[in-house]
Amino acid sequence: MGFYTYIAKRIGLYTIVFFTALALAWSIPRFLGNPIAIIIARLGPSQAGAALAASYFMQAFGLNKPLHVQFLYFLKGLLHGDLGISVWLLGKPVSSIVYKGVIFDLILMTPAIIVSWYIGNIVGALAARYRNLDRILLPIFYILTATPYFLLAMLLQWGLTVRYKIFPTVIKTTVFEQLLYHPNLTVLLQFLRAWFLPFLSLVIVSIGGWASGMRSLMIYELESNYSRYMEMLGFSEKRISSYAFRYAIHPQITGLGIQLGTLITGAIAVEYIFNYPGLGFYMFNAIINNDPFLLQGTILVMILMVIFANFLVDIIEAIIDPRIRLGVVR
Amino acid sequence: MEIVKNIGRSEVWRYLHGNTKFWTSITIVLAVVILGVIGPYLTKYSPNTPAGAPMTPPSFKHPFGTDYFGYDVFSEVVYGIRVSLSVGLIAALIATLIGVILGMIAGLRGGIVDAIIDTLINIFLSIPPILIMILLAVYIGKRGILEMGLIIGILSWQWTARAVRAQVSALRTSDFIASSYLSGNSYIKVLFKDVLPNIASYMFLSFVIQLSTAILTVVTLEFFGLGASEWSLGAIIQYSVLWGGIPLGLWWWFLFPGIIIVALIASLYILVISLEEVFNPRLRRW
Repeated sequence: MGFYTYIAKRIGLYTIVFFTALALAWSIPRFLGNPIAIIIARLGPSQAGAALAASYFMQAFGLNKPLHVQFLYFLKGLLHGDLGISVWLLGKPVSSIVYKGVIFDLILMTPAIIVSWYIGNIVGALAARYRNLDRILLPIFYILTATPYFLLAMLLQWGLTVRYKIFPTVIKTTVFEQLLYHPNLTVLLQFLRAWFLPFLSLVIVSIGGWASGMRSLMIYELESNYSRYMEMLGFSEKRISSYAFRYAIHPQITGLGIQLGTLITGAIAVEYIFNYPGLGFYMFNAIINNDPFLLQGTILVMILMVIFANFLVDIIEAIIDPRIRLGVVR
Repeated sequence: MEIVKNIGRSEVWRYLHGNTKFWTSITIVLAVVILGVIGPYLTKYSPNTPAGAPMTPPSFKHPFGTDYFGYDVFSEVVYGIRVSLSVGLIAALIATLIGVILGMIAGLRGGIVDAIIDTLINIFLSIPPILIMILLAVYIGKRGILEMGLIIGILSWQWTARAVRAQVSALRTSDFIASSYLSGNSYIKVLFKDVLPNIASYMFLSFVIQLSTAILTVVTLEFFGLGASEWSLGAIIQYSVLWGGIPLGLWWWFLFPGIIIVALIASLYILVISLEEVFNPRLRRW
């Protein structure tokens, strides 16, 4: 199986994944609950008005049509970039909110993933090689991985903005708008001050996961037969480690796509705590403010981002892994 | 046969005996569980009525302080441990069960059944499960302990299924499976009598791994306000954020439930690696 067959197969898989995600995001609100009732409940207590509004919304959203027609409407809307309107933000189209959310998410998460991946792999490999270091580092790795993202974000906020006033407590929301439309140096600096703490919380927690993963992979490689054989032949420990590292790094690259899935959900709470206007910030507010369309829209776009990242990782993997590139196995 | 068994047992015991990782982690896990079980008898305050002056730091009267409304944080936490742990246990049981069954079937059957289950596993590995859990939890109506456990369980089996499938696939072509078929055993019998004992130790490990990730998921959902009860570890922390616990500097409100969450999950992780070393001698180095 060659490179292109491999890519074609992955595209096939992600198409199935995408439609499964669409079907879930569409059917769960329809069959389990009633988004209209949520919107009506927010409007006010009048009974007669509620019935009228309900029938209006049923018609407006096409909920009185047969199910397959509704699903086609949903798909059509999606293709036009129509994700409905936000109730919490008073009728603002969800697609325009989500669009900005994606930009700020990319600015936050891309560096967070790269930095934590790089540091985590190096520290993890060091822990596997030096036993004394491992005794100290191992508990730290596991404590970091066990920390929920929101908890570390809260500790950082409490420690660095309330206890010691190193970072500003209140960030003007206009900074984010200005960065998109009228960027200049002062705005950029202000933005970086708002960006740094959410970035730091994401990085610190994910380092634990990458490092503990790398440590186990390296130990596994260092104890394998080829390492033992190299040891018998008299290779230096450094040389053996560098060979083991090349094997161990491979699953870590595969893990990048999946890690984005955990990071994007970790960012929901982190962005809310720091008022950072990414997708997660809007999703958290959609949950606590009962906003069905905003919730559905943010979830769909997050899933799309994760699928896209997974596909990107697959391509990178196919390029760097000779077994796939030359079509030897799989 | 008896002798071989005894040697095996004493070797495991000897290895566990001096293993600080194992004993430290199991002590912490048990301590948290016991705190959840007997905790409500240790405190004289109910988590549902104000117990004293609001916003007081930890003292002998209130070991974890009181929150913005004057509720005793210690009482909230011990009731919260019960809720969060129960949801995590139910979720881990369901996820392990589904994962092991699907993984075994896919691995032993091969062919089209394997292809379908493998695609299913890959789908749920590519969609971040917590997003679907959020949707389900928002719309499910009644969010009880059982419901939350179910939601998390039915969306977390993919990791176990993938690992079990890989292990059983390796077994499928081995001689003892072939001879078991040849001696007239049915597919089901081979599955339970020959395959299951081989993955039993992994099944147990997988349950502990599932438990640790399930608890992390539970508290995250609780923090989003999608928990089974107001007195869950994540919900306490959510309240502290929503009611200004951070700018007011009420660190005890979120730090104590936070420490319990981290201690519990980290201990479960470390328990897993110490057990891995027991089951797989290759990983034992120090």
